[in-house]
Amino acid sequence: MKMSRRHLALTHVILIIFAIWSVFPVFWTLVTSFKPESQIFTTQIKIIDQPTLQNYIDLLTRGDFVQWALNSLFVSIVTTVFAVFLAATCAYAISRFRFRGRNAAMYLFLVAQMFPAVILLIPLFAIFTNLKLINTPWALVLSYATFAIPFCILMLKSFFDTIPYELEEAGRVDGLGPFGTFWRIVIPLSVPGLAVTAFFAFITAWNEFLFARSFLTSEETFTLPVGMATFIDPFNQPWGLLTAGSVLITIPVMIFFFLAQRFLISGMTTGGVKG
Amino acid sequence: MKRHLRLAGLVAGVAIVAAACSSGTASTAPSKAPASAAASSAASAASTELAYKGELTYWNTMRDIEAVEVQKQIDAWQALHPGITVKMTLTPFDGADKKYETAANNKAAPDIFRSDVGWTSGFAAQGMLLDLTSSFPADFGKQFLAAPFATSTYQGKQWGLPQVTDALGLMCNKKVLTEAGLTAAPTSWDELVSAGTKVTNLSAQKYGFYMRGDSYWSQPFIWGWGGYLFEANAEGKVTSIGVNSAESVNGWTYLKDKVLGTVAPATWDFKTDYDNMNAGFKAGTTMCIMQGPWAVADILKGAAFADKANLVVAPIPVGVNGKTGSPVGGHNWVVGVDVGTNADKTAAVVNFLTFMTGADQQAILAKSLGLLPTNIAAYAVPDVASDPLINQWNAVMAAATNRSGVPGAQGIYDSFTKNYQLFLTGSSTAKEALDATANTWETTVFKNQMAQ
Amino acid sequence: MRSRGWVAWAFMAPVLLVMALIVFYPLAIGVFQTFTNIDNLNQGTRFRPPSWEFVGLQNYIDILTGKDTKFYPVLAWTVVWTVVNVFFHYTVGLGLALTLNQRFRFRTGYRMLLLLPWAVPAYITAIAWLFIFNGEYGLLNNILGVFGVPRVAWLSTFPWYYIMPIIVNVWLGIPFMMVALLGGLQSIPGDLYEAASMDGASRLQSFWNITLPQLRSVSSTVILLGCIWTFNIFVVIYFITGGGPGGKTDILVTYTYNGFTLGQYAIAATYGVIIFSLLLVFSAVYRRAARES
Repeated sequence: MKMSRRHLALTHVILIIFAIWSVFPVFWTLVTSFKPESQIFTTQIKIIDQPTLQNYIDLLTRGDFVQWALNSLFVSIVTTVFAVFLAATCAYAISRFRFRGRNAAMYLFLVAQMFPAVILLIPLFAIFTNLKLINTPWALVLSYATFAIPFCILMLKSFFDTIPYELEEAGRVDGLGPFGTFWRIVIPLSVPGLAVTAFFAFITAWNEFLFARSFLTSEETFTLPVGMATFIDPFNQPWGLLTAGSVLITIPVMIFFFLAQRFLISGMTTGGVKG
Repeated sequence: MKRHLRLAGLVAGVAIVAAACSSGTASTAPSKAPASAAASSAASAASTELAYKGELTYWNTMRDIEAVEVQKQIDAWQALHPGITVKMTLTPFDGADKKYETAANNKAAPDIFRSDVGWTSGFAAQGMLLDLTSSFPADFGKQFLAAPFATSTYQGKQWGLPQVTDALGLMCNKKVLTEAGLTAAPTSWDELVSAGTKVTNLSAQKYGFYMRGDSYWSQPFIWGWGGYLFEANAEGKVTSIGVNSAESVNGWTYLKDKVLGTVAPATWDFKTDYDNMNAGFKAGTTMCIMQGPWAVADILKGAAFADKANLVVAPIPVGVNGKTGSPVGGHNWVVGVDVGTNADKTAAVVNFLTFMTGADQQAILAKSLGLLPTNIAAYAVPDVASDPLINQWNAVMAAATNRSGVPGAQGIYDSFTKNYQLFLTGSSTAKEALDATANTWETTVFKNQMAQ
Repeated sequence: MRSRGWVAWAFMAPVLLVMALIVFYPLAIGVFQTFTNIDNLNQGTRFRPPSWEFVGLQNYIDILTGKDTKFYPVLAWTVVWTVVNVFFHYTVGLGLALTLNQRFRFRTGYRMLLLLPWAVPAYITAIAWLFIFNGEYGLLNNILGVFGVPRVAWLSTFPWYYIMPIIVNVWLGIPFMMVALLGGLQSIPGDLYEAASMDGASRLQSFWNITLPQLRSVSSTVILLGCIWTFNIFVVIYFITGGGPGGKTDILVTYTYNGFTLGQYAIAATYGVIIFSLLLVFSAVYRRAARES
């Protein structure tokens, strides 16, 4: 559909407005991270006046920022692998097999998202204490994976539905068992769907605070959000440090986002959210 | 919007955490209270040879830039006692009390903890702390200021040692005071209001005063009019709740009618007004604010206080009939009850605390962080004695109101602040807000603590 | 699809086990607590024996009959919050998806920028917005000041303290809807439109009679998910207003969380179960309505 010039201009105007609105807080955070502390609370609008790296230097020298980043990476990557694998196997079963309880299981995964996670915090803490998982990354990996999985299953199931079963039948003829067809035929064809699922699981783990703060007790195990919280007390919120930390925390997500970006659309469209 | 958003919490979330168990090696000595060294001065305590070898754990709720100074002190003590290490872990202040309680319940509490004075009686009442009454000589407490020392006692027993003390004082910008026609900080709220209006231009963000939307800051307006929050007896039971008395209502009414909208803005940023208050004061556009000694180091970084002498610290102004009051805060050193099973460990901890609460050590922190010592002799140390700001804080402390040691009392501020916000934004009158507060305190916070 | 019961369950077992441990067991504990009066003062600890009691359905009765005066106001605001947010999520998301569904230069660039709110951690952007709305030094006031508009204390003035969090949450939620609907649009066969335009249909008629019906399945899914997520979203209210002033902007989840921090475990758990039940009923009704029409 070729667009008229007026139509094109209107399109650009609309998109520019919304793009600015979308980017604005992130841009503001970035700009503020380069401001000296004294310039942050001001009534003047200055984008760049005396840019400084001091916030970043402070951030990296105070506390174990690098250690926290590594912890966050570990937790997020393990969660992603764990969640994607479990969700894929489960979604495959629901997509391919007709069995009693199938609909109930699907409904279960929808329902699992309705319960506010904060309510689970206290009982979970007791459970993890008994399992001696407190102050280890595993308490977080288990929790995050569990919370990410239902949505991943729903997504992947719709995605698998679009892969023709004949391909697997061909694989069966070649002698592959059910797990073989899953692993060698379905999975390679599902890269977009898996990319979206992985992205979702990763950011669920990377961004989470509350459980991390509750389950991790010593500085060496902190993830980034929890570590950043040690800079803050109710009587002093160092905005320079916070914005610098926010920028650094966002970078891995942005990288993952760029990589997965082209899959996001196709992954979510090809069956993705077709209910 | 991401689904996982419903998981995220904030920095000020409930932190329910158990710490890794402390790894001190337990000796099999019988658990009788150790006789401490005869002399109670830090010097001789420091040189005593200790039987305990291993690790002591300390949870510090200070921010990292402050804790750096404490680490130096720890290093100094460790040098005197090779074989013992004190492992300091920083834990965010918000929610640290919950974290400590959970740890204590799971036998995973740290050996030493920096407990806010409002928390100590609650921990003691639950049996989480080691009774130190017999660990120190009888007159050990006399070297401390009376009120801070009292915060480390509960029901007649000693549960810790006072670390630092603080209260809200009136901080003013000398230059702006002069513009307003004052030669010193105002001594009454009426004076502050009448002088402050001369320098106030609300739309230009020049303020005579800036008021926070946190109920902790509203307390001077209750005490200054003859009201009180609550009264407790020696057992820590609440005998009466006075936050909604006629006097308290008068105080808040004065705040709304006379102060807000005239010398102070009547608009709020409830989540960030602490920063707003400091920013305006540091920039020199606000005449006076209420603040505590913990903020001095940050305030002095402001453009208006490049010359330290421009900062004036004075007691909170009086309201009516010469009445005033300011909430006393501070922190205590407390010891976990499980330490008591090991006599040598207890001795080591006692030695450490004696050292850290000594006049010299407290003077070091006073000089580097501006925190007010609790050891009387610390004020005579030259560095401290010559610090003009610390001397000004003494006047503040003298006029401050002590908080009653009722277990769980820190819980009063949740409903107090909520109702205060409703009052400030006009949804409730002073009487309605204070009545609601009193009701919540009686039925929830002090449910088990009301005297019969 | 074959009917191979045990293989299917073998595939599903790991997930179900993990969910049983992390979700269902704590959930069961939570439900149990709703029938008691457990709080932080009567729960058993290492230092004292438990002194809580069973109260049967009393917690539910207190909340649902209004004896707990907070429930219905908070519920009302939560429903308004959800409806307004999802409305804008969907309409703006659809509008942007339609705009992006055409071929023009920089389309990919725009798409990436518009997806940014989804990619950046929500607590970070919430804090950024919190600061932008600051009454004294916030960017919004500073910019308005350039045009001579007087400063407003956005987060403590009625009605702005309701509106600002909605703006932030709408900002946060549009990308997801946009992407899902864009995907749906891209799978609509082009010949439907060609046939319609040959029959002389206008753009609006095409949109109404082709686009919307074709999007029905995707739309109903994302709206349902959007409702559930918005109803339960914690960070926005928590960071931007803290539920204030005085609890006026609390939605059910933030109010419940507050109850937990105050140690009111049984009551907070009851709220949790009620939230869950409300969403369960809503989704059941919604799915039935979606299926029938």
